[in-house]
Amino acid sequence: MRERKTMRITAIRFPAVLAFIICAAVGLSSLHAQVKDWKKIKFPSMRTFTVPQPERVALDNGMVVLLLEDHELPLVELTARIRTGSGVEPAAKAGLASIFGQVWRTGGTKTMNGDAIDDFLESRAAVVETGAGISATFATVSSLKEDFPEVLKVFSDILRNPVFDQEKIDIAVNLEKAGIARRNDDPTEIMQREFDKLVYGPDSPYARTTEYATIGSITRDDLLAFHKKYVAPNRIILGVRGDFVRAEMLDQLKKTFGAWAAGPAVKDPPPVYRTSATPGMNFVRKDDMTQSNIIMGHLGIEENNPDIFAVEVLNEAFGGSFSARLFNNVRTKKGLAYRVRGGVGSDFDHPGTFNTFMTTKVETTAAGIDALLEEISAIAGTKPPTAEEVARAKESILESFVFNYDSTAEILGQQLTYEYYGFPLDYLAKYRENIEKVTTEDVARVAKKYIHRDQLAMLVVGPVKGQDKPLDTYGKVAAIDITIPEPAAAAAPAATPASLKQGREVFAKVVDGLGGAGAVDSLTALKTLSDMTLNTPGGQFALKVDATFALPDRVRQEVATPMGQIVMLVNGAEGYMKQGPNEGPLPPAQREEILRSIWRNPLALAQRRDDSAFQVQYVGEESIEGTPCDVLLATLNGDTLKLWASKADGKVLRTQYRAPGAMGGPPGDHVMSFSDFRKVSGLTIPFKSEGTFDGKPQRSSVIQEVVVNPPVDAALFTAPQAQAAGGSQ
Amino acid sequence: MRPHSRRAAALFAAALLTAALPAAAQDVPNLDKTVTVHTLENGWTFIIYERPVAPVFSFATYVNVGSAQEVPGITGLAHMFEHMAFKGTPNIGTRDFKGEKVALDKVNETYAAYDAERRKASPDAAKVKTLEQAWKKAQEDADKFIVSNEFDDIIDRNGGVELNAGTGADSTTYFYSLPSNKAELWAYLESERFLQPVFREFYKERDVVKEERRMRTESQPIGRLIEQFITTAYNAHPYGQPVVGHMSDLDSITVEDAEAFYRRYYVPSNMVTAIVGDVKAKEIIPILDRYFSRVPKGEAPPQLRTVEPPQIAEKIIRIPDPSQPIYAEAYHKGAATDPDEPVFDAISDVLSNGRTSRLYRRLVRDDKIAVVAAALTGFPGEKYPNLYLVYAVPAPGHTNEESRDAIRAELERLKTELITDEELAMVKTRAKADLIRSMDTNLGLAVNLAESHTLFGDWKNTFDYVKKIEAVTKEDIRRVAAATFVETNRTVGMIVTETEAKPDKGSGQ
Repeated sequence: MRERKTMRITAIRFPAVLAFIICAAVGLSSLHAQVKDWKKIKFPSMRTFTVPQPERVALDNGMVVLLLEDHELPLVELTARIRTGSGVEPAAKAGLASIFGQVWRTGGTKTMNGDAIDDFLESRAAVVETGAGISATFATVSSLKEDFPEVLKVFSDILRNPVFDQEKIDIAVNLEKAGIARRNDDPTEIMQREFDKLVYGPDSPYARTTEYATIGSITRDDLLAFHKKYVAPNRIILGVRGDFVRAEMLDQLKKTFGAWAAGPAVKDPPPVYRTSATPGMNFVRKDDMTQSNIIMGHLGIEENNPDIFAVEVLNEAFGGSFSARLFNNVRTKKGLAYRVRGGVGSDFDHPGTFNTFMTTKVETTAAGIDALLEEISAIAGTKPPTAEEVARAKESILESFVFNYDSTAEILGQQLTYEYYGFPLDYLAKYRENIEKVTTEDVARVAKKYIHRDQLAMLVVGPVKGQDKPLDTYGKVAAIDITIPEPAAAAAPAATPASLKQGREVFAKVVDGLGGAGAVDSLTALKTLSDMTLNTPGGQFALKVDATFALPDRVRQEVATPMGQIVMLVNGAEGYMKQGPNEGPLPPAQREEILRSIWRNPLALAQRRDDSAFQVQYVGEESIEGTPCDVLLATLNGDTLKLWASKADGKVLRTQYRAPGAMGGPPGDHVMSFSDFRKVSGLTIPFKSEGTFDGKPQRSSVIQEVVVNPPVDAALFTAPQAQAAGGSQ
Repeated sequence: MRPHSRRAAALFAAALLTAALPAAAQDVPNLDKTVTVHTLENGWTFIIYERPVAPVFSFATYVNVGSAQEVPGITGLAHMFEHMAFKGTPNIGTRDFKGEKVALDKVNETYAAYDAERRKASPDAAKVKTLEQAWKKAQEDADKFIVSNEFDDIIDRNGGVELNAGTGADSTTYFYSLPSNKAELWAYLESERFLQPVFREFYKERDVVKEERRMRTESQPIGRLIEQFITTAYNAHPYGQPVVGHMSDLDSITVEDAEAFYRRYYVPSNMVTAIVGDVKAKEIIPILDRYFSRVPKGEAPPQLRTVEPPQIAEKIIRIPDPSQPIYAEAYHKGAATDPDEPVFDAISDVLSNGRTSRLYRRLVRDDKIAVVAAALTGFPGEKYPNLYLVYAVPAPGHTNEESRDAIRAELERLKTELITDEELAMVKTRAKADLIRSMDTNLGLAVNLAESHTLFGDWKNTFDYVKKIEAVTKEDIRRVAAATFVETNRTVGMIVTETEAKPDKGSGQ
């Protein structure tokens, strides 16, 4: 499949003549006997026909209705645009409009629940759907003609009296969460999303992402309030087309919506966005691909910019067709890409983006970037659009202009858009004239004005391995971390007898997974030698850690760092630390934290399972990378540890707890993930562990050697006697 | 309304007649008066459907050749030729065909020499390099003759839109839309491109197709799953080959391969073109005769001989992948022309159409284990015995196995219980409404008509098929479900999330 050229859809209006006039066609060249060279074929003139014009009626309550008859098929289709969208939702509730858009339709009304509505509509092959965009929200109806009166009643009920049933909210939230979980699976989605953030800013409604935290904060009351504030007849434009008589349809609509009282005027501030992108190279590493996705650009223009016509011609010449520069040079001539696009984007109520993008094999990433940069520099200055290119682009737009109005669906849709954004009545007629007026100089001028090589925010999504040149060839590379922030740890639910019972049962499996009660209970000490990689504000460090803990409360840790060795030990109520020339007792808070770290090891925790101070409850199920796990919440002496244990074999794949960061500082969420489980002296021990702190990778550790129950010399845990007594540490 | 001439009045009356025909609200418009079939002596069939809503028309040329006609070594060729069909002719896309022909022959010679050397058991590295450079130089020389993308350009400058083509397992379809006064230009271009395509920029385009493969199949989890799935589900039949082709084949196919393929399959008797819109059969037929009769009759293409043997063992593949889980299972069934095909469509409606469907209500609404659950027939093609596919997108924190169990339970229900009267009525109502809705666009209609005429031998099937759905009974559904949804007939494929580093995807060429 080749990539499609998509035609720009513009809202249009024609002078109001309602007849369908056909002029006689000039005789075709069918009289000629010879097959022609295509250049010699004479075309009959296009038969003129006058486009049907929708009738516009404003009801007393402010609702605007557009009506367009179409008797070809026994259908009626209605589209409503409602003046609201995700542009007005609070940042902390990102996703509110989207959930609203879904549950408005699915959540039922005061008189009919969601399932009953589904049954009613689908048994009639009728469709009612709602959805929210950024600047506008939609409600649509498609019905066979004979069912329309009934369907309209149900539609009106949904529009005015939705109840947002909690179960349907849960389904919609589930879908959103799935979208969040899957948003890094498709490289094109990553590229588009991260690029929008670079251009509009990550907090702009035109770019921001919904997160588990924001979705989790949305309540039924929020949805009801959103509906109350924004859904009123004076904020709705309703377009209807199909097999009806205008006067009768208008009557029907007035009867249905006429008595609906207008709502108050609501003026929200317009959505914020950056006024300029930060130029430079950005990179998202994604290894499961054989291509790089490359995009570069900055802000574009708004639809009401008088340069829009010259820009349309520019876009056609630059990236709008198979013979445009991008396709011709980057795909056809250089064979670098299957998909390559670009243009100065526009939107009705905010600037679009100028961008060019392509996908190419990893081995030609730099070649691809260079090709795009070359095209950008060329069109914006070194090789401006030629008279021939401009003539060709104009011809393409003008010759295909008829496709702006080749169906009543398209005509009505455009009219709705124009009505919504307040564009003038004669925009279509003027549009064609304005394209005709565009000159080569105009196109060169707007290319220079709206395309800037030195302002490009650039982004590559793909693997590192195999790139033809390192990306820092193009300047300092900002690595973008697209790790999806985990759902916030839910507040521990109150333990119930059931959750405690199940907790104990599952924990018994955990003990088995560790090697069994016998092996666990006979553990007295453990010594490990590990290679650790630690991320700190000062950089990443490779460390060697020699640690011994002797249950229940003694730890010794020697860490070999590039700056020398650190020794730390705890012996019950005493603690000591030495780093270089500095040595002395450990501060109590740090000592206590180290003591806690002992029991956070599942081996040590398992030994405490019969303590009166120990409690474990079952809190649910979750899959870790495809492995179904039971989730437990363990508490010991007031401290909490969350564990994920594989359902299959009880292995603890993950733990989570709150504690200060590795370098001290305020507490945050530590998540430890374990893998490479091996049997050592009857115990199952993970040889690999990775830790994150508040979602960011902090350390990873690989055990090189482990000894179970090594002979333990008390001196290991005793501070050297030779230290100065009473040191002021 | 004031017609300007008798002819115009007749045209207008015809337009009114089309629109006014539906007798009862649910009936599909009667098209016998507005559709004409015209077959040339060389076998090329044209279906003309007059629909003068606006002064535009669309066409679709449906060529009865797809990836199922390929064999190992040339997978991807049907799709590759589709790309070639935009490269022009001796009259389009070149400054001087005489000179270009010589240059193109040189490209093929130098490629053959380079290819032969590099494929030797012990190639001489220096010689390979020299030969490769000679080939590259030959391409550069040939490129000098090119008027780039001229075929597309002509269509574009004359108001063409939606210019594209598609290749599948069964067929290759070419289409676009034009203002209706350009009908003769269309006839010239469409006949020229199949009469005498020139395989210029072949190796460059081969690189483009490789990128397409990397984009669609290799770099997207669903692409990876689909390719592994079909190659597993089929032991013998070429439906098991990816349409875009295996990378090693894409690295090897030559101009000669493409020419041989084109000569064998692009014969007029293998081609149906549907034209829908503001055209009149009486006016366009002489044009069709004049331009398309130039294509020689050729020989009937060979029929595919291989039949997939009955599957006797369940097949399961698990793909470890960093992305989120996806679950799919499929069962072998007959071709679209089988009498039971409408029963499978009915099953899809019950299982998968809308929020009242069984899969939606069970997996998404009630159990909340999936966010999408659907079923479809005709995968990866429909001309030959194909697969009935059921798939689910698990909800966060839920597993493939949960979706699997729920899907199996629903399939069991279809095998053991009759569906309800309400469900059966809904199947029939929706089939009719879908047909009505599909008649709203020229391009959609053109593709449907051409496909229908090829598959069933009669374009009327697009509209008559609804009657076959009407005849489906509850017992039919149970019978077909019981025979099809059987363990030994099943292929299972899933993406299993794992974040360990894995070997390079694809062949990195």
